[in-house]
Amino acid sequence: MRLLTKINRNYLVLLSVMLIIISIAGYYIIKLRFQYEAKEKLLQTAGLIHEQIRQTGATINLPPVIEVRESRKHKVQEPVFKEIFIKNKAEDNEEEPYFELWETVNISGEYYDIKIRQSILEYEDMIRAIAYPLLAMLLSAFIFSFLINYRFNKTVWKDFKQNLQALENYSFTHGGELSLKDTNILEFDHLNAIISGLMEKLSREYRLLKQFTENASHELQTPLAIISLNLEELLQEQMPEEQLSRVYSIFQSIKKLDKLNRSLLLLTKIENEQFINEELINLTTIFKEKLDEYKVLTEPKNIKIFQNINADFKLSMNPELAVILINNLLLNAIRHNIEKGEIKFFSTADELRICNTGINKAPDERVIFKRFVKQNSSSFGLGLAIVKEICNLYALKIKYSFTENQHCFALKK
Amino acid sequence: MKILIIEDEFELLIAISNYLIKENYICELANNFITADEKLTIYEYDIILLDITLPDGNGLDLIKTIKKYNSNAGVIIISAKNSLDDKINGLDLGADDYLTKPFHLSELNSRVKAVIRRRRFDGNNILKFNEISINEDSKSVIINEIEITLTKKEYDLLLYFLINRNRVLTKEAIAEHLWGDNIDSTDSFDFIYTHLNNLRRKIKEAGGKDYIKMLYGMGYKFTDE
Repeated sequence: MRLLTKINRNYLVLLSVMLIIISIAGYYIIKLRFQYEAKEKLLQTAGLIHEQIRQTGATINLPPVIEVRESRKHKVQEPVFKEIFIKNKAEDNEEEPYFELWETVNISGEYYDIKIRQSILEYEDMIRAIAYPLLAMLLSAFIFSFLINYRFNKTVWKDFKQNLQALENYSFTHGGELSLKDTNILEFDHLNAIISGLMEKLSREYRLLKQFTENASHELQTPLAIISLNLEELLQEQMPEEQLSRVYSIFQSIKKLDKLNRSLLLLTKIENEQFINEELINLTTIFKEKLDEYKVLTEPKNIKIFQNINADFKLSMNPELAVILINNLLLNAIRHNIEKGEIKFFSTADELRICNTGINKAPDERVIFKRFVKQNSSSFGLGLAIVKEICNLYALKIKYSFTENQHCFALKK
Repeated sequence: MKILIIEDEFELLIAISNYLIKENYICELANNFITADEKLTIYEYDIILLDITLPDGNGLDLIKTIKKYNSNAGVIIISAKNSLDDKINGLDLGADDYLTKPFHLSELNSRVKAVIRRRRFDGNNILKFNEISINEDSKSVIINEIEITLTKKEYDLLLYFLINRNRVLTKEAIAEHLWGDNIDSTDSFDFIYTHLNNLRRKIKEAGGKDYIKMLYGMGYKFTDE
């Protein structure tokens, strides 16, 4: 949940609760006040009636508002107030609420039961008349303040959001300055300062690491060249076969080391995005060319090739990397194939799939694209890692699957 | 044939020059930018082997000097930087070829020979070895005055052998020369053997001798010794 939403939600809940409490309290306060007024009024009316009886000895009856009777109980009763309902004969026997004063008084030796009532229909109307506008006013005040708050929060968070976007778009591989906007809010600026410092440190470390790999690989090339040149010269010499085969064995290892070094250098270069030049490449065509070229590898193994080309798969990418991508996928399919196996190649405008027979066991999918994960001892396990890096660079999706004894790699745009 | 080798790694410089001297080239050496620049302005060379990364300058800048004072020379760039950009830049500036370290000396020899052939305009592009003669312009092979038909790979293989005769050629070097960097010892080198056998058969059918000596497990040698 977004912070702003959360704050607003809490705010809204709080406002609603407050509104309910204020409404209820308001209702009772008004009611009590009204009752108090009504009591005063009823007592005042009772006083007038007492006076009337005392002076004239006559009783007034005006039901249901005033009822005065001589009491059978000869006992004084202090005024009691209560709410009652009385059927209104004029209006279809509808029950109407009344507030009633009931007392028994002794006036000039006579006991009188006095009941004075006041309709409280009007007071409920009055509560409504007071409560509704009050509620409306409160509600609009709340809505208004909520909106203002929302608006205000938005502006407060705007810079923060921009900074977040800047962070999200920042890439170590692209490098460049990370510029975070000053928000003029202490907490945010503090966060910015911490992040900027951290990023600077990280990007320095990252650069160093990149440089190290690249420099190390570069520096290795010259000694490797010297060793292999001298070994090749040594192979030209007349010497016993045993010695010769030892020299050759060293030579082979150096060639492997060289190959490894080149692969690492290539990986670093892809990661460092040093392949800038891009053009529209037809990967299907490259695949067909490579397939032709690698007949030297497929024919001795009697590997059958099936091609199913619906449309050409085209992509804007570096031509050198395009060749490496296809080359590694194809070599992978050849190297891990079996005698009299198959390679199936499918091409549509947005998917390229290469399937091959091989050992009837699916390798661990989680590590298949990881570096130095090898399926046989003679490879370094960098071929597919390079494939993955190239795919990452051009936002291609690559997926491995193993179904019906076929190992498949699918490239999707 | 006079070759100037510009390379800052002394041991590499020596290894290359020793080899080229054996191949009957006259070699001069430069291990930095300034020496190379000086030599290029004073003397004339047929071939220049140029390392791009020099301690005191970029080898690519030397190509300008070469074009000014040694315009007839062929230039082969030798670089540790296996980058297409360098390659394209170098070739755009007028270099004839590009070789990445580490390379096989037999490969260097083939490239040098190819550059010489391209630079030589007198049309004498026939490479002869006993009864075999290769016309590098028409890419035809004649044995005992009979022309034989070879596939492209077989032709390349024969030419590579002839240029590097009397030399042990490892399977690695042959595979790299014919199929590039991508095929390596991970794949068995059996395919070389197939191509080689076809080549041998065709030469034999035309009455040629079998000069290809097999060095078991290691490579081949083209020799009449």
